Amino acid sequence: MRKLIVNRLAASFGVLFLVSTLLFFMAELSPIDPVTLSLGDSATPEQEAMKRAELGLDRPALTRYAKWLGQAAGGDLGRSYLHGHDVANELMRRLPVTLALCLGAMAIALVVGLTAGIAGGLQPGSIADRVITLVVSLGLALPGFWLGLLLAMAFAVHLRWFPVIGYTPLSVDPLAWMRGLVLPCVGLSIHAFSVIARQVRGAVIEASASTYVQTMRAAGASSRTIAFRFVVKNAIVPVLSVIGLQMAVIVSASVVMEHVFALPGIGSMLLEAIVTNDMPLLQGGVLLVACFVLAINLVVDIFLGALDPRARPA
Amino acid sequence: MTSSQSAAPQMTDLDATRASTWTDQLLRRPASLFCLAALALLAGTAIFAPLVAPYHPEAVDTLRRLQGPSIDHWLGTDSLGRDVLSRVIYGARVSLGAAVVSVTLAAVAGTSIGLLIGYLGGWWDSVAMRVVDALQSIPALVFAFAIIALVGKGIVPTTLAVAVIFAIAYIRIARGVMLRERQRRYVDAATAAGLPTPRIIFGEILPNMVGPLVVETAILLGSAQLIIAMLSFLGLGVDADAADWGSMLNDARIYQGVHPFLSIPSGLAITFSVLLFNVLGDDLRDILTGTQRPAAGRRAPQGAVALSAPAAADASCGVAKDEGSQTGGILDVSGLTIEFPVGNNGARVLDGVSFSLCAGETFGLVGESGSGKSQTALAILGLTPKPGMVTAGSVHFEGRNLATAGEHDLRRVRGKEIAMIFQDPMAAFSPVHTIGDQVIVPLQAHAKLSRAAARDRAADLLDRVGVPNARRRLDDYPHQFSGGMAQRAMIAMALTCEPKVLLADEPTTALDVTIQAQVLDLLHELQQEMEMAILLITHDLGVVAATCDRVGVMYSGQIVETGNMSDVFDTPRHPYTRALMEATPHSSSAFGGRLPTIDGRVPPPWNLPQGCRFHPRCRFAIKACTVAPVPLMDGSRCLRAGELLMAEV
Ligand code: SF4
Repeated sequence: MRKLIVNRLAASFGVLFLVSTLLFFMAELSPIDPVTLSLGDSATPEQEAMKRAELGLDRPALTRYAKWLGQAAGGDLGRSYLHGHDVANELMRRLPVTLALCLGAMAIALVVGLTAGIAGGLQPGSIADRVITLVVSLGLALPGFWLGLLLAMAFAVHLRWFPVIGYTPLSVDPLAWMRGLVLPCVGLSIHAFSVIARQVRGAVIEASASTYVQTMRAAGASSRTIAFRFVVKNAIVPVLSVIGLQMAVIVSASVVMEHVFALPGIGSMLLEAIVTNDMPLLQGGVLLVACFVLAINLVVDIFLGALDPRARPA
Repeated sequence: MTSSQSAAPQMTDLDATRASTWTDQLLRRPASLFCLAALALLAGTAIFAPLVAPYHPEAVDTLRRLQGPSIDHWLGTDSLGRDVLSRVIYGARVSLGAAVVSVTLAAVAGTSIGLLIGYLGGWWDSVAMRVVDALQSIPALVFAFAIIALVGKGIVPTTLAVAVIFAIAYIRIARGVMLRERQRRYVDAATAAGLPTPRIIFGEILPNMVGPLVVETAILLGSAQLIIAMLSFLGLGVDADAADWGSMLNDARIYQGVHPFLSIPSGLAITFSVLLFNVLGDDLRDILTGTQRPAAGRRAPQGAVALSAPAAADASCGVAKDEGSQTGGILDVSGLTIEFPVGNNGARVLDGVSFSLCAGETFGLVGESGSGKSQTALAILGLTPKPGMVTAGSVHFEGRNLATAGEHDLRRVRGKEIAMIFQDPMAAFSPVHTIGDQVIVPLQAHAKLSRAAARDRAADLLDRVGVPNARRRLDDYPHQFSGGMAQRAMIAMALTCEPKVLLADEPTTALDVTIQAQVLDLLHELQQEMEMAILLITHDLGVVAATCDRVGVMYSGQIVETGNMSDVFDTPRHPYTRALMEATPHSSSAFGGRLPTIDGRVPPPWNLPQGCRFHPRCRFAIKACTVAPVPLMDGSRCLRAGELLMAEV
């Protein structure tokens, strides 16, 4: 197990290096000049040259790349072109919002998705299964952000159970913090929930039809024992990668949900960075998202190793 | 959502499936038909938007901002007083159009790349697939952000971004099919015939991937709409003023406090059109993979089983030679009949199977695959796979009729009194649980042993069946066992509760020839030790000759000949038995008998021939054979049994 974790960690750092390289050269390729971006069109050539030197843009790309990489490794992600904020600080300030949103949505998607998928898959064709299948079909077609709007309308505007938009930090008021996150989390989880429920249902049905289930039945095991000790574990293994991908989808879709509920997280920052071409902000944000996704993949690999002996390194 | 027709998975009529093309089948499903019609309507609306829409989508009317539905504006107006209905109609152009364009681009580019790397293979293939794997681990939305950040906002970058993301899916499919088809012989034939490579790829191989590509396209058209709408909603895709469902939702978001209705039309439009594509894709996938969705809650009606009371016990365990109820054995199977619902009438996979198993003996059931041997064993334990059910007959074991017993009673028999081992030991164990955890299942189910005590017993048994280092190997997983060792473990598992009857379904078929003999010897030893009766199911006459006391030959769900092993072997009284023996190589050792081949195939249970079921393949068939069903008489189900005895081979 330790070997597996070490292997995966090493691979993750490799990917992270690749992503940061891509990010750097993406900025290089971008047609937008950061100097004009921060100074505006009216700057004199001297001002521009000064700014260029200040940003270090007068040096060759490879030198800047090495420096950028070194600084990024040390946690220095540079300053925003637009308002000069320190990017790393800005990220840390916004991280708790996105983290709470994503983890909440993941928890809902996982718990509800697994439960629904297992319940439906163990009794295909039952009324419960039909209801689940219907909800899942809708969930797959429904844009999560629209669901967010609808939820806000019903539970925030009309019933006033939750705030319509905005964010209260945990340290200010834990209850308000939680109430503010409920609707975004639900809206964010719906698509992942549907995909997970659907895949798990299929995997449970497939596992239930396998020969080892027949062996267990012929051995006199109760259907409950068979279902929960043997079928579920076998069904989860093949869908783990899908589950991991859905967790990553939640992370990326958090951008949209933060937009709907005006949450001051990484997503709204990324959106702003894209719209304003603020490269350092964009690079920092994407790098953080990449770390998040890699962490998810690591967890998935660890789970896979724990559940499936064939996935462990010999 | 699906046709209510149901059939056992193994009996899906492949020939019928192939006969009608998938397009025909699609058109026969009401849900798909509805989706196709709705999509056509949607496309028509988009194309003829100027004719259909009551207003121009950009027509501003500041006096009527954010109004609810009215006669003038059926779906109300937006923040600039524009007609929402007209914008939804024009929006179909952008939303559907962008999705169609991006998926088309992805399909063309992805399929070409996939075909190419599949064709080149080797180094090209492995490098390309690494890149594809890496790209696929990036969530689509992040990918789109990156491209938009690089190229800028707008509908063109958005469409391009989606196309790049989705091309990956097509690369995978095309490459997979290409690799598979390359192995096929017709490609070799085409190459040998001197066809140019492009002709082979596009003329011979491409048609084979149309099915999977169409399924993928339907699903991706839905996903493309969702992603494009999401990007427009974020203000990154379509220009904010343009009529597009995603940006309309963003407008609705801003005014949701004032005019909550605004998000409903465009939200529904997206959901509905994505749903249409998804349902269509699912149906297509079902058709192409031949999956039948399970019918709801089909249960075997208890009353359907003909209750046959056990006749007075016959002291002798004689050979069952005629139709009728069987008695006298430890296990008496009488007139066992199993039907699967296929279409309107049932298909009989077992038809009046009768035999008894006496204490300590080995009874062999022989026949080709599809003759009903395994179904017989499963039915004894009440494990007939759904939706099949026992419709007549009885299985008497120690005074109880297992054919009518409830699940609770059956469970107490399974694994304790009657145990079963299966053909492929690798498939018969769960791959993600240790052998130890599985071997103790019968003990945990029947003897209320602690886990530790159960493991002790399991270790002893593994040792007894000849697994070296038994205790240590309890914690190994099935993939760490060889086939022979796994089958030994399977036997240990079956014997943990010292059953009186062992049903062995092709216990050696999946094993090497040398291992086969060892396993059969082991079974024989254990049988002596535990005094258990074995029902040995096999297609291998060599195995029967070496192990069985008595034998029943099965064909097409019926026992066609039965008797003492030596009698049946020396003087077969049914042409099928004879054909089986002739197809078994005589020269080889008793264990070396390979799969017998007889011309023709076992008829499918839903399409049985009239009269004797063997007559289409029987070289002794006469006209009388095709008239009426042939009963089992004096151990043979053949009209010419008597003459056969005299006829020389
Ligand atoms: S009844 Fe006729 S067709 Fe059937 S096995 Fe005997 S001879 Fe052949």
